[in-house]
Formats: sequence, C-alpha cells, structure tokens
Amino acid sequence: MKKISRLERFNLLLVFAVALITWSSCKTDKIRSLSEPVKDISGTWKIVKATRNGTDITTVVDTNIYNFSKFRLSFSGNGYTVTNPLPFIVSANGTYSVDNPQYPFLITFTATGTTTPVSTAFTYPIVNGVRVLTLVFSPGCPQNAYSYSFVKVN
Amino acid sequence: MRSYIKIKGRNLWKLCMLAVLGISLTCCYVLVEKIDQPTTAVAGQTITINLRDSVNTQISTNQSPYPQPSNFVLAFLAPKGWDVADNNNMTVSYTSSLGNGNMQLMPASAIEPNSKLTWAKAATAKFGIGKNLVNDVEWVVFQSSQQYALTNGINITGNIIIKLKVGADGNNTYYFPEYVTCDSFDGYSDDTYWNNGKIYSQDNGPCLLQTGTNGDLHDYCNPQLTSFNPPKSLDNEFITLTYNNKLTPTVLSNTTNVYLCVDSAYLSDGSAITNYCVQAEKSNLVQTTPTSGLFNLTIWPRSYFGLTASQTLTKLVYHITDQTGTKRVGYGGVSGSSSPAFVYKFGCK
Repeated sequence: MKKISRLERFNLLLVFAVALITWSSCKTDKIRSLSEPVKDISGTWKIVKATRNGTDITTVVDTNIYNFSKFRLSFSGNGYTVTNPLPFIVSANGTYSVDNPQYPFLITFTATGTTTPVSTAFTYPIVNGVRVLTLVFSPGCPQNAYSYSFVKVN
Repeated sequence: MRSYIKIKGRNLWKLCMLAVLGISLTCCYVLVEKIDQPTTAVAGQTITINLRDSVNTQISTNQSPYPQPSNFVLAFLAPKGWDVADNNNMTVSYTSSLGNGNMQLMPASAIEPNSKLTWAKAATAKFGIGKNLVNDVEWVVFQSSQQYALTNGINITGNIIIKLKVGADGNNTYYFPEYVTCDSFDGYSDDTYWNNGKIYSQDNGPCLLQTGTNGDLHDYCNPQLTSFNPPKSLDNEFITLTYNNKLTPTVLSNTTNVYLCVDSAYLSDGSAITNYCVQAEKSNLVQTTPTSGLFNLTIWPRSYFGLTASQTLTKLVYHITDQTGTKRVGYGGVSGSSSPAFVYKFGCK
C-alpha cells in the first residue's frame, strides 16, 4: 500500500480547508418584502385648483368675497377641520377615515352633529414632486360634480 | 450604414397610394336623409321620431378583420331631466335592408374607438350640447343588438325608429334634439377621404317644445337675458348668473356696470329674505371681455344670504340694475319699477 507523502497530505488538507471555508461562507439571504407605506394626509391643505362640472372655476370664484386661496382643510389624528368654509363635501368639522391606510381610495367624513357619514373617492398622486390630494364631490345637486385639488401648506 | 432596400420612384408612389387607400377605404359612410320629428309634445306622451338612413361601405378587403364587424350606433341628445338612460323612457328599433332589430343602451364601459373615451363622453367631447344654449342636456348612446359583418361596396338603407317619453322631470322644456349615427367599428371618425370630412352623420332636429306641466319652462333654444350655470342647483353650490346685455335693447344697453338686485329670496318655510337689492362689490356682474356684452356673477347662495344651517332657499326673484339702482331690467327686458322679475328656482330636476 502506497504511503501518502507529506506534500500530498498537505494538499489534501488544503482542499478540505478551502471546501470548508467555501461551504461556511454560503448562507441563505432572506429577502425582506417592501411594505407600502401608510399614506399620511395629516397636516393642513390648501386648494390649488377647483372645477365645476369639468370647468375650471379657480379664478372665477377666487375673489374678495369667496376665497379658494384662504380655504384650509386640516387633518389631525382622526379629526378634520375646515377653515374659511366654501361649498364642500361637509359643512362642519368632524372626524374622517380612509378605507385602506396603505392604498386609500375612499375617504369618509363625519361632521360633528350628524350621524350620516359622507364618502367620496379621492386620488393622491405626486405631481411635479408635490403630493396632490384631489376630492370629487357634489355639495348640492348630485349631477353637479365639483373637484378640489389640494397641496399641503408648508 | 448601407441600405439594401431599393424602391424606384414610381413604385414608391404606388406604395404610398396603396397605403393611403388602405387607410381611407376602411369606413362606412352613414347619412341621415330625413328626420321625421314632432315639434311639440305633452309631458308623459310617447312621441315617435323616425330617421331615414343610408350606409355606403368602402372597406379595404386587406383590412383585418374583414368583413368588418359592426353594430349600428345612435347617439341621442336629450334633456338630463328626461332620464332617457335611467328610466327606460326611450326605446329604439330599426328596419334595414340588412335586417330588422332593436337597439339597446351602449354598455357603460364600452369605448369609442377614436377618442378612447366611453361613447357618451366621446359624444360630449366631440359634439358638445349641439345647438342648445344651456348645458342641461346629455348624450345617450344605443347600439343594435345584432352585429353585422360588413363587406365592401354595399349600400344599406333603413329607418331608425325612436319612441321617446318626454317630460319626466315635471318641467316644460324647449330644446334641440340632436342625432349622431355611425357604425361601432369606426365610431365618430373624421376622414378627409369623404367630401364632408366625416363618416358619421350628425343632424339636428327642429326645436321640440314640451309642455303640459305646472313646472317652469326651460328654454334651451332661444337666448335668454339671464341664465344660471348650472341650470339646476341647490343653495350650497356656486351658481353663475349671466346677463346678456346685447340680446335686446334695454335701459341698461349703454351700461357696463350692472348689478344683481334680489327682490326676494324665498325659503322652504315660505318666508322671504329681502334687502338684498344692493349695488355693491358682491352683487356686481363682471363683463367677460370688454365688448362681449355678457356679464357674470358667481355666488354661493348660502353665504350670500347668510343662511343658518336650518334654512333652505327655494327661489330667487330678481332684477338687473345699473349702479344707481334706478334703471331696472326684468323679464323680457322690461324696465321700470313694476317690471316683471326674473325667477330662478332651486332644485335638481
């Protein structure tokens, strides 16, 4: 039987060592799933565009008498407040909720003193780097649709 | 880079012609030859409107799909208050050389092929409110239940028969019906190949006067001295009053500073708010352009009249005045202290 030389033994050990290091360096990487962030609408919003039945009325209405530029909609916690009111989906302050915090499509307002919540679809895109909140509603006749687009007040 | 494509000038010309013809000859030219439509009707009455149509097909046999699958399409302009789409107040049938049948409402999700909008929205975008002067009308679109495989070079003649129940909103209405007919494959397609540059047919009927109710007359055929937009609203909306100072000679004809003078604003309990015949910034109508003669004022009635949460407006009775308030114009352009007032009623129907 052939004896294993010292050099061969060394080479064998080297192979084992390299194999051991290679094996021990392998590990399973767990890919963390990215969760959609909760859409935070808290803060104070101002109107940048308003339409009535598809026609832009932003400048038509924004006068010394009625001020789109002064209207403010603020969300805090589960409450909202309206400052310098205009025709809107609700006429008084109250509470609000969204149907899904991560993928909201519907916002519901419940004005204080009423038991009937009012819901409307809303969009929340980023336009030119700025988050724009758009609400579509009918403050009077259902066939008359108003759309207010808001940006956050800095 | 060297090109290996070699097309001689004459062949290139032929190729271009084939391409142009291939694009142009993929249409069905629809023509409404005659409209039989009454000019008067009584609320609740079902009137019959007959459109005599012809369709000439010019379809390239190289087109895919060929034969061209098509439904006949009718878009009809009706007062919103008549609820033509929602309440089944309108039925449509047809007779034709291809066969007879009924038309049904176009599915709400169906897309008009040119605009990529829904058929009703596409009609609104392309045809607006027809000859009507007030935007209180809507397009309702029907298509034949039967689909036809259209081949090249056929002439189809036929009649579209509309049964229309009028006056569902309880008002009296005077408006221009409008009809657009086409095939579903081509839609509202413009095409310069044809002489008139379109392959659908767009036609106005005569103004239709519907009476027989105790409601107001909504006249969309004739210009009005004053009008409101939206024409139907409640007090918690912005409403825009327009005064047409060029329509007829009045005591305000030479004035460019005109005001809304509300004689009485009536509430739902029957009481009236007065003292709103004022000449101030809030009642000042602004001319749209320096010489238009059209003056606008947008108000939010709940705020304008300082209503409490429990108060609801039912109607406004008003005049238009000059800055002094002494020159007053009322209904029909009549002036003077006893001139009849304009009236605007709040309501959604």
